[in-house]
Amino acid sequence: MKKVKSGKNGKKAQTAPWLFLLPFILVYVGTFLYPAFFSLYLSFFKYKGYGEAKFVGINNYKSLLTYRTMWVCLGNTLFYFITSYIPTMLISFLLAVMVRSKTLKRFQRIYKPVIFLPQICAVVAASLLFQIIFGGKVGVINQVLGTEIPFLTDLRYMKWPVSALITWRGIGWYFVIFLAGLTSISEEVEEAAMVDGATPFQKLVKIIIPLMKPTFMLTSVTYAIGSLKLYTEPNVLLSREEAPLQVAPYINIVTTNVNGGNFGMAAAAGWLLVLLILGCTLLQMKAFGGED
Amino acid sequence: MKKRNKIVALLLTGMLTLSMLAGCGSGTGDSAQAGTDAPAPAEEESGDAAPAEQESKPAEEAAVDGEKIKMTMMVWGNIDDYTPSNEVLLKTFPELAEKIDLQVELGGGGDAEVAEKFRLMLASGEELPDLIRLNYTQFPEFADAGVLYDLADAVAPYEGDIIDAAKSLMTWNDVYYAVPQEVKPKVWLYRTDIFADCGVDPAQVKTLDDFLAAAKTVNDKYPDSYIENYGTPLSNYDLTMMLCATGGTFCDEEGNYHCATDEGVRKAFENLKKLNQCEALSQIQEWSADWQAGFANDVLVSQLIGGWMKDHLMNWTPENSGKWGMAMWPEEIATGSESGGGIWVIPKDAPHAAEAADLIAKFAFDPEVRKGVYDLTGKIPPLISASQDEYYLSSEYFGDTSAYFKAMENFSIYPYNPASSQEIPIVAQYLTEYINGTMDLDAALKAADADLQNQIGNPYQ
Repeated sequence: MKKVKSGKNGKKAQTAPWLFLLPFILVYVGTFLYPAFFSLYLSFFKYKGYGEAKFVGINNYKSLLTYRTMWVCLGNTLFYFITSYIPTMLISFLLAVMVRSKTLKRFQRIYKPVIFLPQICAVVAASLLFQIIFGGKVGVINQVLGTEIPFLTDLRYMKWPVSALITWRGIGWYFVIFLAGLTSISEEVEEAAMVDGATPFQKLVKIIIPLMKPTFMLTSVTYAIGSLKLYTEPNVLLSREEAPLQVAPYINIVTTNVNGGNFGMAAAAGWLLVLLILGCTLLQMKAFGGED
Repeated sequence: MKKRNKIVALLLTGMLTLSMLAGCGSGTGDSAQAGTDAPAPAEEESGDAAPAEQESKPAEEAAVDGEKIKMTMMVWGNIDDYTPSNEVLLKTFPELAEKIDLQVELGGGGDAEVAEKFRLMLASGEELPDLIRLNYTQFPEFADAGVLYDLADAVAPYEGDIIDAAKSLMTWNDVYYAVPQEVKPKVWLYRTDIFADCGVDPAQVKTLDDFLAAAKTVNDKYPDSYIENYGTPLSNYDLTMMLCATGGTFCDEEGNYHCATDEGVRKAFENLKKLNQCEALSQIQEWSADWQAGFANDVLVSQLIGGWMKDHLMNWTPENSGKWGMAMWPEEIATGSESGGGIWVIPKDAPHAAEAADLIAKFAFDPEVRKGVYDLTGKIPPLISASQDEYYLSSEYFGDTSAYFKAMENFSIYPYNPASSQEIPIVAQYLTEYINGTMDLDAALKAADADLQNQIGNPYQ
């Protein structure tokens, strides 16, 4: 066993890493931790951003939890999460598997950028594009089908174009992650399975999917976090400014309060979201056996 | 050697830290353009502070140095919509052009974003712009908070020529804190050719029922054309325009929410549902892709809307010049305005508040400047002299525009309060629930009261 250095040299050796970490620590504390905890402090006040702040205890949290619209918006966020999560994961994983197959592997240079392209497209530009695709009278889909379905104006349909947009944008990103995950699987394991007589489907189900568990966990957790913080897509696609609250995501509770000069309530809504994301992440880690 | 490496490592670490902190300055790109009174410490150390200081020099100091004052104007939308009008002002007053460098900066995509940015600037102590464009909706919050500059002295030379509607837009507690960017009376814009063909005379349309009958007449003759669109969710201004007419308010003067018992709010909800459910009116939603296209392809042949819409029509369908006309709203719902209108305000702590007040008063009320701006944008001056000037009483696009000035006689502003920005979206969502039939009127209004109480409590406290 190596002996731990003691004395003057040992002390210096212990200090050096901290010095290298110092820039990050300073920036992290100054630009993330301090504002985060200040917002926690602010969530117990009624404060419009300037002037006097009035201490209201946990009233902001109580108000939010009994605010019907907050639950509606939370439901909308979960809708956007679920309806986009399943197709995004399924399509991006299957695309990654397909692109990795020997037949298609040689065209990777074409497939990869094409599939990743929607991710590069600015979200506002993509949303405006989807406005044209899903437009009521002048929309591409309605023109092709000869219908006048009010996708973007009828509350019954408005959420679906948003899910479609999120899915379209997300596939490229998760495709790349899955592709990276697949490359980490040793070819020898796959060859051994083939030698043992496994069919491609059996190889996928019995070998690839179990070995990809850490990747699935990563994608699932990051997707959930991203979905719970969803803001731009529904708001740009469904409205000129902010989407109607009936179809708005949870973040609109924060922004509506900021717009209304209700910073304390906005901070409380933000912290409820933090708790939600934390709970959701722990739940997913448990489901995927993350502790292993 | 090892020691030297350590020193180099330490130096690099220090530099990295400082550079990162320098990058964490308070300003955004936009505000950096405006300059700040208090540059980031790292900038001071690096000796790069001078240009920033120059940008934010007080007027007296700049005058002594013979330099131009850099005055900033925070707006939303497109900077190019403002620059040509500013050039008209500076051309009309060359002495202003000599001493002021007027910069337009974007505060966001819409009025809510500009208001939010203003709020954050007040909260953070960041240097404020000299002029801010807002809508009247946000005006009570800032005027009530005492953060706006009193414009009485700057407005005084023009006071006798300003129309009453504009004065009500400028005032909070009897003090002038704003000047109008655009007064927005309720006007009825309509296709004269189609209305004439259908035998509909807007002047004879007095009630809401008359309006619905007119809608049917036009739609019967032109099955693909509609004289209005009330697709849900309605625009917030549809609600406030109707509330002006019915006299509805969400809360009393003490700040107690009373939507469920306020006859005006009930009537506004009922009227809007009636309009939405009329088969002779279109379900197109305002600001959707179909809306703009609707004017181009004759699907929408009239609008009950705020005066600002005339500028959009002129831009969207220039080929229809001469086919559109202007009338007053049906008498029953004619009172009011669309959010009062657009305004300019000056923060009390703006670096050049006094100079900005003088400049914006000239911009808003000087007859020559207004004529130039009218030629550029079609915005009719809020001046008594303009209402008597033939130059403004007709236009190539709309023909006779006297209805615009007549509509000013019915001008009133919905009684906005400091929490209106938050109130309106909350009530609007229950209007949609009521219109869509997912809630009856009582349930919708009670739910609105509950949410307003829950989220705002008392708007005056």
